[in-house]
Amino acid sequence: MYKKPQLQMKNICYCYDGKNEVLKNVNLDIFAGEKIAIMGANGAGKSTLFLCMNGVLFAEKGDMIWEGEKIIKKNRKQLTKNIGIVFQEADNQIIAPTVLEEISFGPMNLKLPQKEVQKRVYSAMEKMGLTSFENRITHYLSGGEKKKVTIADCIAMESKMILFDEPHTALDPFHQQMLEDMFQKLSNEGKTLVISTHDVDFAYRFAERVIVFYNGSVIADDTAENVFCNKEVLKKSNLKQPMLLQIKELLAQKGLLKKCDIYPKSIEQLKQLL
Amino acid sequence: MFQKQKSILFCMITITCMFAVIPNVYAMHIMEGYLTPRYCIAWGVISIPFLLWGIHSIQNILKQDRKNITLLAMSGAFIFVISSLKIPSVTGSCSHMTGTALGAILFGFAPVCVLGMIVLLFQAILLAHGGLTTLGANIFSMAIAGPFLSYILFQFCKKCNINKKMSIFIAAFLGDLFTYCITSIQLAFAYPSMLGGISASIIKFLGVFAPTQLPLAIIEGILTVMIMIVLETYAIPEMKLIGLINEEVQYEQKK
Amino acid sequence: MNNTMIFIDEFAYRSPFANCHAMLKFIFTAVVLILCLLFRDIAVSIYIFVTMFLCNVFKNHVKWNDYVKLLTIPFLFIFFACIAIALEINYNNIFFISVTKQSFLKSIFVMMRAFASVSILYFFALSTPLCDMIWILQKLHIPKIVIELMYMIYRYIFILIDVQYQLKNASLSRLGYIDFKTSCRTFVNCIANLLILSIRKAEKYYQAMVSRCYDGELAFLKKESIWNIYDVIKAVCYIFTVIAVKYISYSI
Repeated sequence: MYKKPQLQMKNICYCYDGKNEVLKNVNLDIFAGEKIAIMGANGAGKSTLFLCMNGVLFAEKGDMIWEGEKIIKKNRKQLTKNIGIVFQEADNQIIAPTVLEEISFGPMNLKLPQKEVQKRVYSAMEKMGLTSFENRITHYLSGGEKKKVTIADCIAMESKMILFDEPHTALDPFHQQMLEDMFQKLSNEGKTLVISTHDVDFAYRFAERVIVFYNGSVIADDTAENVFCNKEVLKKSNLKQPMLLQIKELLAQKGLLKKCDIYPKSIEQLKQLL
Repeated sequence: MFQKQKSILFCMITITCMFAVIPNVYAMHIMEGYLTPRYCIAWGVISIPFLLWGIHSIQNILKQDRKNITLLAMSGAFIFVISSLKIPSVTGSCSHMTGTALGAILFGFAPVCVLGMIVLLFQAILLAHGGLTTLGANIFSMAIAGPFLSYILFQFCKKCNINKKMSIFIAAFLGDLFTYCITSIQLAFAYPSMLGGISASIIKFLGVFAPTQLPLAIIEGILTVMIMIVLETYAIPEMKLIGLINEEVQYEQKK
Repeated sequence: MNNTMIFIDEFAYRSPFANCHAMLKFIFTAVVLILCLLFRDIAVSIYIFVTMFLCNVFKNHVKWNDYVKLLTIPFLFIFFACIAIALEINYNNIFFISVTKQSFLKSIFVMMRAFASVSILYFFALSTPLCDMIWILQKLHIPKIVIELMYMIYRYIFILIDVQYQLKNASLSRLGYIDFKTSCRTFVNCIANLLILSIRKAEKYYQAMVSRCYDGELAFLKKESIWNIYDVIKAVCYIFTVIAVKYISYSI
């Protein structure tokens, strides 16, 4: 049966200062609960796409449809309310001096009653393991902790879709792992996740769907397996094949695999194939 | 003649010694506890109309585009940070810029009034420079009088087609000096000399603070010129962005 | 001087007094300050200076050498201003500079009063985080736009200091401060670069705020603090002792 997409983008174009187009005819349908990885070189338009999706920037050309409602310039707050964005640099996002105030900023802007704000903020802090942090000062937090706070921001706003702009940058392995567990948890709760990343292994392992950007337009939009086996796309966007796929191909060449049409997502799955 | 030379030498040695001993030369913030409640209130009241005008003009800037709020806040933070930086020096003492002169040239007078007030409050609490009761007096000397003169001089020199470098130097240098004079006058009002009254007292305070404040004003003037040169060569798009704020202020004044 | 700033800022958050009601601390500071300035009495000044020293060192757990270091910051201004007060100039007939006993005593009084009020200010600064201070101003009905700017400036100061620190280290690692001339040039370049970076950042910040439904009003959830009756009693007692000291010294 045909499922209605949560967010529909039709022929979106965006250009800063009227000259160079950053986004060219982007067509995307995003369904509720999907895990999407967006890949592409620096300056391919990923960040701009996110800002457009969130309603910070408004694309003059093209249509955006959120849950069946057409977005015009007036009601683009609808996007902001429902789609949260976690910026690449946590420092750029945090505006309040303490963690409690910072997480409450979003819900307060939604004009919710005080009680509701409190409930949301504390549950978001609990989810991110920040319970003991409520009075901590944001500018003395470490990089990983800042990232957690920014994610808690979006959780507290109860956005249905969360966009992550290169969340892995400048995080230690411990926090990277924590981040991945967090993504899984959010996805299980039914949130739509769109993650822009340069880490092919992560994208292959985690995402169901991979979208590749090249010079402001989509050149591939398919399942992770299909995209990462498409040598042409990978070459064009300067991406490497994920390590697991490389190993699998090598093993297949040597004739060591039982079945060649299954794509292993983890070492364990690969082991079973042997 | 010999006597005179000796006294000049003595003065020079004292000044150098002072610079060697002095740990930190800041622009003149009147410290907490120096003014009696009467003067605290009086200077506060004098500053209020300027601040209200500043707030009004900021509101107008924001009405044009709400986006400017982060730009304004950044400018405030920038003024605070440059006023807390150590100026390179030969003797090893550390001195600090006021930063308000640069602020007035870059962002215009009206916003700097309000930003200066916030910066002074933060300096009082975070750096222990100035104080809560002397805030009014400090606002008047450092956030209103100094930037006002700098701004007016800069605009005036621009109209008279004076060399840009020179006009920036004059604006920053005299703005700094003016701050120092006003502070001396404020102190003199609070502590009139027993024999000569207020006028003698002004001379006393001017004289005592001259060895630290005069070189500071010259250094600040030179550094401001250098900073503006670098900015005008490398940061044209950014300067345009700030210019947006500045133009509106000018427009406000014309109205 | 950034070290002092970060010291004071960080200390205020972990101060034993941090949980007291901010308004109480503010009113207490204001009342003691005003009394100190109104009484103009050396005994009151010394009393406040000593008790605030004890309070900061033993109750607020500031290390005493840190506290002494903090007290030296305003020393320069206090010292110079006191010289000026002590000197008497006469230029009516003959120009001469003199120090009379009266003016000397006056300068000592002023010095003590300044140190006393600076130590109260330190008590306030070392026990009240700046965001609480902004909250107090909000309660005092300072225009909203100023409060908003204060919140943002407070946050941005730390970001810019971070950027500046990196710029400085980057230039230090390339011998940017090797001699006076070079260091002047480096200093200027650092400042110019700082301005460029901060303006570029400003736009990103605005986007980040809009992405969370900001529409021209900065609102936060504030942790409610309660009036502790014991704290109030302590504060009132202290104020009464100040008045008592004044009364005793007056009668002597």
